[in-house]
Amino acid sequence: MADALVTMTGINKWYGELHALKDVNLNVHEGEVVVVIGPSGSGKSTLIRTINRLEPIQEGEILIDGERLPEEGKGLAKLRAEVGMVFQSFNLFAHKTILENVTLGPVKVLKMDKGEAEQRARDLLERVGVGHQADKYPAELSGGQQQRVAIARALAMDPKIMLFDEPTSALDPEMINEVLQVMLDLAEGGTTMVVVTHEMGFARSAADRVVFMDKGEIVEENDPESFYHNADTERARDFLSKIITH
Amino acid sequence: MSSVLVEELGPRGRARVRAVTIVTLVLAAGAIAFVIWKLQSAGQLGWRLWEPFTVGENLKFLLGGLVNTIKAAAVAMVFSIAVGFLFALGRLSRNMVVRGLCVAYVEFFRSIPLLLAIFASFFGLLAVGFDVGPFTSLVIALVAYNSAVLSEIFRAGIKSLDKGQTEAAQAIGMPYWPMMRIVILPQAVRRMIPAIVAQLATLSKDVSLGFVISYVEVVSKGTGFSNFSAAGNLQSYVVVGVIYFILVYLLAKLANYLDERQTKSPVTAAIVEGGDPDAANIDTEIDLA
Amino acid sequence: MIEFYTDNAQRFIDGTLVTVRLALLSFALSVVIGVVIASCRVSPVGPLQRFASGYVSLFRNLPLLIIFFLALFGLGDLGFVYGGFATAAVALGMYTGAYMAEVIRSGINSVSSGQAEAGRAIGLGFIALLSTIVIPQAVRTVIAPIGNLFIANFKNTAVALTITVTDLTFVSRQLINQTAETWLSLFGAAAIYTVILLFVGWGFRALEARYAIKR
Repeated sequence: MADALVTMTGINKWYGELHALKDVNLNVHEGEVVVVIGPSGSGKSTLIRTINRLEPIQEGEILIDGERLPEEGKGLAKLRAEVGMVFQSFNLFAHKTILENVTLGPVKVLKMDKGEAEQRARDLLERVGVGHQADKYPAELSGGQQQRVAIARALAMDPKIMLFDEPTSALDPEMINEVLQVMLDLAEGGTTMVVVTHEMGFARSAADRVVFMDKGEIVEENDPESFYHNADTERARDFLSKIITH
Repeated sequence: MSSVLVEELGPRGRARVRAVTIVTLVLAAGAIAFVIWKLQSAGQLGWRLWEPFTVGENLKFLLGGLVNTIKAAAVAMVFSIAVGFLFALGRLSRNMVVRGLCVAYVEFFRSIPLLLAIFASFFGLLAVGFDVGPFTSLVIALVAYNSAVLSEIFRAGIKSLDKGQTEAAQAIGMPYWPMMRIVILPQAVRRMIPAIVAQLATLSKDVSLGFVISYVEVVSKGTGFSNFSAAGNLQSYVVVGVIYFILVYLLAKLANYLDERQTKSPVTAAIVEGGDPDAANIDTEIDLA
Repeated sequence: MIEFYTDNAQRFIDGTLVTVRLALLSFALSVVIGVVIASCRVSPVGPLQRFASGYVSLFRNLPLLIIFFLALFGLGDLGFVYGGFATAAVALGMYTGAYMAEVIRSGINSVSSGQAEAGRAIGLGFIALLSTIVIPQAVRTVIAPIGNLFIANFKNTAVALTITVTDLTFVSRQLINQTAETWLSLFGAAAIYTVILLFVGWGFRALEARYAIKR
């Protein structure tokens, strides 16, 4: 098997007394879509936030494309530029237009020519279906539109991998599908993705693998069909029975 | 946890922080040594200049000034609250003339120096035949200025209450004034107490300006003390500064404490929840006249 | 009445110029001090944080008058010798600087941590994050409080008359003594303060409207 794009080995993290991640090991291969699920407080968001060190870890090793994740400075910034991240609450830059949100990274970090960055940004915005909103400010867009812009912003950096931290949890129900559709298109296009989400539909149609976490541990890794129909572990079955009955 | 600006540091970052910490401590020690050396060579640390402050009698003299400071602050505060309240209601009035006059009053006293107001209430009143003395003059000027500031605090406090409160009162058929008195004002007052205490801290600092019309508060006692005892000017103002600092610090702490307790209390939480977010954080600290 | 003002116009003008110069100089100093102290306060260095919060606490809990007197009688002994005007500018700048530091700090804290995380996630380093995300957003929230500080600082220049600065309030006070026209002396100064600060207030409100973030 080829080397994994992300290799996490023996990850431990504490918040004071709380042991938030316990001996986590996870590999993500190129082109793979991994969905992470688990009850709230299970450490799933913490886990994906450690991949670009928005959460520092105390123990363990994270390799991205064979390179050790630096702890600080220019090296860390450079690596973060190669990892796209989409947040639960969008976090678009409030004082920048939609277009500027998408061009900021390429221009400031990748030192791309401004005209070129704008052309690419417009293409990306078109691709996620908000091309006509380019000159508005984030607050003028709906939640679903903002999240699609956030995806375009991350894609503009041409990342090796995309991280999604509960991308649809803050959305009104009628806007969830427009975001999931963009994510499905990405998955089909072969983008490597790690997605924290409870959207079973997305997991079943796009995920190569489902990772179930509970209390800071990875309890089960499985393919989506087996996981949802016939999970190996009691804890996973218990969790699924709670979310599926609703 | 990382803050907006500084994220959790890596090993190099931590080493850098340690280095800066050491440099800071060395520089601080150097600065303190420099100040002590300079004061020493200017003779300011001579015991002769400080010794008078160890005499009980002398301290009593200075603290007598503090009593006058507190007296002026307390009297001025009581009147400021009353007058400020009237102007706040005036600004919320539906009569345009009343509203306009109140706005003019507030804007005028917020844009002239307090010192000018003190001169007006002292020399101005004297010129038209009222010799009210320094205490009353100082209190009048403080009330004129602080009632203007407080009326803004009151107005924001009243306006910040949920519109729903007004609508609920109107829905059960309450007329305007009973509604204000029974529903709006008690909630508003409750919320404004921390801001009022904070303003009292500012006001007690301003009492020191009574110095210019010879009101015998703690600063003028300090001046008198440096003139009539062996203590030097610098020493006297340092001691007066310490006294003043304690007074203002305690008031400011009290305001903070009340503010924190209030934001925790379920009643205010409910009020703040429904209120206008902009008016909810009436800034008690910015006004520094 | 008109005669009083025409006769004394030059003195009112002189006093106003002193007041304006003192206000601008001390305000500029307060901005420098405010930036330095706020930077210390948000830095990860313990002693710098404590120094900054000590500075703010000291200068906010002392009356300006005492700060003036301490500067007058203390700075000379430390080898910094100034006249009344420069002492007043330094003392006032240090006083307003403590408030400025708090305004700047709260401006920085008003930027949500999500904005900073998003910036880090696309690979912005500390400087780029500060200059493209944090400062532009903070500036918009601090315009109004800085306007209030400018006005308060402008009025506080009057206290400098206690250390022999011949500002506008001093002129008014002196005219009271020298002419019998107490109220005319007072009104002249009050009118000048009010007009200047009215324009200043408008200016800051216009700035605020211009830089408001669309939300």
